[in-house]
Amino acid sequence: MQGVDVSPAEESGSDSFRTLVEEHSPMVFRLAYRMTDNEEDAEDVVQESFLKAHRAFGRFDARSSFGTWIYRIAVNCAIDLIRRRHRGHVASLGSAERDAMDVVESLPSSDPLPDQVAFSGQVERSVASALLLLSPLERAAFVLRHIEGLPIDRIATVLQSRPNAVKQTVFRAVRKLRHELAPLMGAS
Amino acid sequence: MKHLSDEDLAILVPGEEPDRAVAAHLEECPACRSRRTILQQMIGLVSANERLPRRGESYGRDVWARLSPKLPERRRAAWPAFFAPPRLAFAAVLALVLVATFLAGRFWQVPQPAPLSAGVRERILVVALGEHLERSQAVLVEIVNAPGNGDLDVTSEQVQAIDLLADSRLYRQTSSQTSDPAVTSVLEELERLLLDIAHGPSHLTPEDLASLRQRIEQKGVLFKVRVIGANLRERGELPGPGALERKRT
Repeated sequence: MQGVDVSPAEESGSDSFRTLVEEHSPMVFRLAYRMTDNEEDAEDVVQESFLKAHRAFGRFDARSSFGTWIYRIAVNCAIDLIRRRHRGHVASLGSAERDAMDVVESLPSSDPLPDQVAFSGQVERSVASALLLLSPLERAAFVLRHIEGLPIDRIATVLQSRPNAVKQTVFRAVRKLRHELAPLMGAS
Repeated sequence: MKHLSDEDLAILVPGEEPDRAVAAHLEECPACRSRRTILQQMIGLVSANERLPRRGESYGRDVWARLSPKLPERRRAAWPAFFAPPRLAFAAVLALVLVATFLAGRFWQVPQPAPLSAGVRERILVVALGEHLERSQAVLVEIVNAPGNGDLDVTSEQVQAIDLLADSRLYRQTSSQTSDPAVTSVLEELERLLLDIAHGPSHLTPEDLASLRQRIEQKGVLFKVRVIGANLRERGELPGPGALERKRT
């Protein structure tokens, strides 16, 4: 392996864990970024998820999918981090609304932007602010279903929920996004 | 004709075959097809405009390089639980016993042991359930009595809750077929709490702790668990409180 030092953990025989980390890191990062919308936070979630997985690896049932298991840990880590971040920032507003307001306030003025590039930037920001209106669980369910394309049953396993509850959560997320993005739908 | 609900349409993913009834309806209903298209366009707008930072091919190795110094040294290979050495040892012993039993059966006519009676089976379940309730109660008591004046590390309670969860499901399922519905209902509430503890944050802020305590106290789970344990003991089917601890020590 290029450029990777041999660690004490590796010497003591956690090669199988190393393989799993290398294989699943990109997937965990994508999920973490989509949930936190922040590169540093996503990296923190990746590290924390694998640390937790390592601690609990002895209890991992080899007959299960490691991908589903690490997804579950990563979703929980991301939800924790989002909640901590919200608590740290503002105390008075609801969490999703706070984030959405932050993003909306950071948008450029509402003067119409003339060129296509600027318009596409505005769409990107509107999509980001709409996603921030979702609760952490709604965001997880939406991302897993509509961006990652996971089947409902597997999402239910990841979120430790029932398939019907997952469908409801995805539906709530889609309804919120549709409401927020309605003005863009005609324009795009 | 009954149209598809927004909920039905919201979970549809392009490329994935929908439920047969949904597919049949979409086939014949232009209005629902059109609603589906609008939703898919909106979802497409979201996925096309997400800002996902690129990660190179070496990303997995980079993550490992940052992670490995933080990992505690493990004395043995990190075996998945199913193949853990204690289980392999148990399997080996079990195999020896089976071979010995087979050989013994070839030479001696041993009277067949009577199958366990329903009463004995129930008693085994009750004793196991009692121990489970006592262990669960200990986790909840730790949380209810924890000092609430700063962040609280509940890692050890989480580990115990994870261990208890699998048993809890098993007892709940068994109990729903054999026991009083009240016991099943308490086991359901207990399982939800264990689930929250197991998958919640490992460091609780005073607010998290207060909210968790409120949930424990609001539903009276701790009280119900104690009452069930006491009822079982009253029937003479369980050892007294603390017996599990004494047995461990």
